[in-house]
Amino acid sequence: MSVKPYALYSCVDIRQIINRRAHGEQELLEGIEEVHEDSIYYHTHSYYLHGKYDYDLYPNDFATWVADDVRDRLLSERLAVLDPFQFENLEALREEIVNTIDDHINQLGFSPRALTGDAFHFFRAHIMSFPTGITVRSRKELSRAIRTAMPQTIYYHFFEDAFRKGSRSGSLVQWVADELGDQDLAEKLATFNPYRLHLERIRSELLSLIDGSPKDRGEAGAE
Amino acid sequence: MGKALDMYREIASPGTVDMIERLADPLRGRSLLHVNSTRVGGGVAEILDRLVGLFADVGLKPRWEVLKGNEDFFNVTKAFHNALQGQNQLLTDDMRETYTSCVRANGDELDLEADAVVIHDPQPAGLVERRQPEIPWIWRCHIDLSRPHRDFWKFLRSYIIQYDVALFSLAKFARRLPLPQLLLLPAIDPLSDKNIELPEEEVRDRVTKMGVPLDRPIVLQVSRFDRFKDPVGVIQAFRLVRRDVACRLVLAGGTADDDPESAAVLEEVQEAVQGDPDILVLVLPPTAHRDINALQRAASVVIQKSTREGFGLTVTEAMWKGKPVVGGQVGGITNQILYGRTGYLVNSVEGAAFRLRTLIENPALAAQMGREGKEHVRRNFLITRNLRDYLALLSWLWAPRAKG
Repeated sequence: MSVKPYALYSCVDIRQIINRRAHGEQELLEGIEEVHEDSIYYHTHSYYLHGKYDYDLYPNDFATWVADDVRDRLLSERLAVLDPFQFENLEALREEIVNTIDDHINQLGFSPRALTGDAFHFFRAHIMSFPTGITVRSRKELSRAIRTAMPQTIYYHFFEDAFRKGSRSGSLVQWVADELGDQDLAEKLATFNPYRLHLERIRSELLSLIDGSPKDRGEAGAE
Repeated sequence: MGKALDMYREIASPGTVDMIERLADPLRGRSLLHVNSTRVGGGVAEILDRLVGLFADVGLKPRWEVLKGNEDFFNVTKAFHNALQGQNQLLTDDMRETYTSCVRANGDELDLEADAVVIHDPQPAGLVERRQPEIPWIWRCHIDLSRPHRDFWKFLRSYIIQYDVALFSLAKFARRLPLPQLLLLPAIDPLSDKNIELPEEEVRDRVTKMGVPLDRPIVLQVSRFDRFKDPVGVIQAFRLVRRDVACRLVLAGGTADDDPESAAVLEEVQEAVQGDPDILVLVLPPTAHRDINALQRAASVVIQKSTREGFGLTVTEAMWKGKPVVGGQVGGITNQILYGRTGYLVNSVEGAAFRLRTLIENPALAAQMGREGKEHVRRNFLITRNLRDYLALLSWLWAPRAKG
């Protein structure tokens, strides 16, 4: 049976400045409660898409702002450890962020404000995806493609096409299972948590999963 | 595919050019018009000079038109520039009339036909009165609009609300507007005369010819002679540093066609220098890009002590040349300098002096910061990223379901 080829995509975001700012933790909480889901997505994912691991303290913008501008270490650490992969969808993640801030303010008895005077600016992401022109038909071709793919391609398939669309794993994993018939690799990819790594580390981890052991390297699909 | 874009393959982050080509594929053949107010001088003209060619390389049909104005008009728009960035100015009926009549005259003259139009800054913003409703019009704001003078903003706003989208260099510059406001970080062209790699010999020759001795560390500020760049504050900071460390200060700047105030600021600077032989004030023509490049490469530390700033491309230019930068904690400078890693952000003459001295006295630290700065620019502030962002925006605007 011939394998249906899988087309790799990449993406870039357009960052919309929504006229909402927070000068303190209570305003941050209220903003997070009320903004569009695309904003929650942007502030918990731009770290990866924009390679902010070189300069941002934490992997989400809420934690980084609380650390840098409010200088509230306790809350920033509690926000920093929130791992989107542990949540079903963005709404569940939003709720946990809100609960974390609310609980913190209640314990403090007041809402700290930005000491630097720099407000938190809410953004909204519009993701533009586009085909890379690369298609793969086998595990070997997938490995080759991942090795040379743009970081944004890796982002697209393991963040945008997965969690953003409401599932843990995206269409690539589905293709590995359905077309390559490689349930073992599909399972490994589906349980792979990209939020713990930056994009280049994700690439190397993925390659070790795809290339696997010598036994695993047998072609599952047609070349 | 044109050759100019290919030259960036080895310079930009891996895969960037491929991404640009893929993004541009569905946009081929569409026309794009940029309009600003000067062909030479200032960061906007410099970046447009290359960007227009790159749009052509990826298959679009770009044009670049320049607003024509007389001295009165540019005096008025300079007042706009200052007032929109927070200076107290009086907006008179005559000023409104000067602006409106000049922009309308340009609207009669200029060919504004295109599939999308990008208007840069307040000077040509009023051209939007001539827009065709079905064509996307984009207002690109390069200045700091965080605390505009109310009357001037109200006047400008009446034009801006007629656009489809507004682009800002920083989120805090965005205003309350009934249209999508997007973030678009500016960028530099690494292959322009201003930024291209220069042989050491050429650096030495050019700097020496400009009368700058290379016997001591050089502190450099490159900027127009504009009060918001605080050249007098730079001189004061330098004098504090020189008490402890032998060094020279070079203030290199020029004028632009749309900036009639620079001559007055230059006079203030000369007065502050008071014939000090360690301070060199270089008034360079707007085409002196290779000389500025050489100065930046010869400098030990670059300073950009602005008190207001749209973005401050000179910071990125200096980082691209591997220099640590001491910058005022304002506007886009805060987005470029990674504090303690590629330079320092300062808020006072004293703060600037302290950090300049630290960097001059620690060449190894300065070199490390310079290396980090260059990589930071490669990832975030090259023209290829700017081109990519524009292409993404155009894809969005030209899509059947635009502007969500």
